[in-house]
Amino acid sequence: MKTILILSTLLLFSGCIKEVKPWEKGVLAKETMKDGGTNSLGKKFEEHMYFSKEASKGGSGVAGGGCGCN
Amino acid sequence: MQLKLSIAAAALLISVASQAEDYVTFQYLQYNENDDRTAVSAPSIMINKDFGTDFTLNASFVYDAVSGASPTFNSAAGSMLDDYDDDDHDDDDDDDDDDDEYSSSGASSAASSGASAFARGTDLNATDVKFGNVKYDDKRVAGGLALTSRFANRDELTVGFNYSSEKDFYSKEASAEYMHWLDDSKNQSISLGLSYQFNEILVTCIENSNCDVDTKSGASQKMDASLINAQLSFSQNINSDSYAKIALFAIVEDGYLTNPYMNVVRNYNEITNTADIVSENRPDSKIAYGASIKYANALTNKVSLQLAYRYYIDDWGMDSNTLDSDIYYEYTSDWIFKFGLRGYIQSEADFYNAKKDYFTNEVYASSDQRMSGFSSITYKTDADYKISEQWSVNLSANFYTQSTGNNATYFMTGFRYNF
Amino acid sequence: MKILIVLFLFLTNILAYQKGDIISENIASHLGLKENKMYIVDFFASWCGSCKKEIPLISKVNRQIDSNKVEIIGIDVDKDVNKGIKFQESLKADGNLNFRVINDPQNLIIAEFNPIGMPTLYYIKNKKIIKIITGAIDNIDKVILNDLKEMEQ
Repeated sequence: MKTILILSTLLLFSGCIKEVKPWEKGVLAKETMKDGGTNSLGKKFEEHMYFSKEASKGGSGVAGGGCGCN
Repeated sequence: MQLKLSIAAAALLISVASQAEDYVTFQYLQYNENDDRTAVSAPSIMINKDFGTDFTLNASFVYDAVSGASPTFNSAAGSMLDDYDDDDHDDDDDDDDDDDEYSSSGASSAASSGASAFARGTDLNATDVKFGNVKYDDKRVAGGLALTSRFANRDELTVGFNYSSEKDFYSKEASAEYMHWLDDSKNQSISLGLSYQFNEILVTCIENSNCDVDTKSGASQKMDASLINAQLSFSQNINSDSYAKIALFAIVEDGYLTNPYMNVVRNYNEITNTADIVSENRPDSKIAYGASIKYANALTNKVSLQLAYRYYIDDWGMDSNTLDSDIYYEYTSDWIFKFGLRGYIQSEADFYNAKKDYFTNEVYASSDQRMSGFSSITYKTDADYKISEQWSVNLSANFYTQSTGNNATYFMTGFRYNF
Repeated sequence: MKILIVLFLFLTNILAYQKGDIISENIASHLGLKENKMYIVDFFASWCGSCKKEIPLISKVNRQIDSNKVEIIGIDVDKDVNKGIKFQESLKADGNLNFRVINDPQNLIIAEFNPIGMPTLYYIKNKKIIKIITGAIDNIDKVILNDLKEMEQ
């Protein structure tokens, strides 16, 4: 897994990065490109559900915890 | 090219309030598990509001009505119980479909809380040991508040507070996250987040539980646990159609981490026909860490792809891999459809065993399915309809299935109003 | 055509209009700039939340100024022209957009100005850049009116 992460990080920096001008950020600003897409509240539900049914957590931001799942 | 190669870490963030948007959104969730286990009906609401150009407030609130049953070991002499396969909790195809529930007729006051505690005891008849559903119901109220402040250089500091309250579980959390732009064109950023959570768990004290108070009295004791979560993330716009985020996180927990409703069987003896059913016991600390990566790409002007992968590992012997993918299809300027697939696999905890004749005097022991090794798949769909510039509505249908045989279907529907 | 645009953008990467610069004849005629008149050029897009909040305030300013002396010109840089027009129409319907807008879907005008953020306002008189305001600004209407007052002296 570590290898995959290092490789993907390197790929990111491999030169395929192009400076995006302020006026070129329209697509990046689309709802469908954001976390949670068209339903960010629904995504919170899902995170809670996964946490209740599975034993892993973390990786999606530090806030928004307090779900009370033991 | 702005490449800061020294920054090897990156992070996944669910950014909450960092866009200039004022809206209120409402979602209603209906969640149902198979085999008459948990059912949840949960309305929730979120408001996002800018105050000037430098402040954004995000507030959310959810009310869960939870009911159903949770499977664990219990002793149920003379009562109707679904006969699960004793060895590894697989559903028996020949089982009775109706009435999987066991509601206590036991003496202790603990019974009314729905705890399986009533079915514990030592020197029970080994033949009475069953693994089956135990009924419960609960209401949960949770809320959160996050305030984002932007500085002159447009760096952001988000301070948050979250609260969750159930009959026997109270959780409070404070968090802070600082986002710093690494370049003038704002295509690269780094964030550091820290949260502290304090949880109080009400445990009904009965024989063989982990309480300090008199076990026969049935009194409750408040146990507590704390959690610290730290996350370092890096975000990069790759080109005008795609970006990536990488994160490293660490979570340290301390305190009462056992599930008070879960039992294990100890000292199962076929010869003497005795067994003990006692509360499970997990270590009182857990250290976990992991890494995640997220990638989003607008493949065409109508189709966007979001991919996320997370690796998790902890000192309870568990590790997991999660791969989540969502495709958004803008059918028209008013209709957006989402199709998603999430795959998950976890290994079992060191102290987990599903067999009734396994545990003797081990300190840590759990037969909670959540601690076992399993995989899961989630199938997700969502339809979003833009009624006007202000209003949009959505309907989502999803199916979650585990290799344990547990499934859940959940629907979400709601609206968003931009003001 | 795309190659030309890419080349153009590459060349203008290091070129951006700063305060005091003179804009090109090409742009001046495209924008219809007249002599001895102050122009406030506002670059915006439908997807830019801060722009959306600013436009009603700029329209408010427009009602308070002498249109013979000062003219506000909006430049919509939405690559999807229809999306941009729809956005402008909805603002107009609410009375929140009352100034002339030029559509720049190929982003040629904005590429020449090359602002470092969105939204950006350029004060131009006799083809000279007098002032640049970049980013989301509180009370932009008061800021503009104040600027115009100072510039008159």
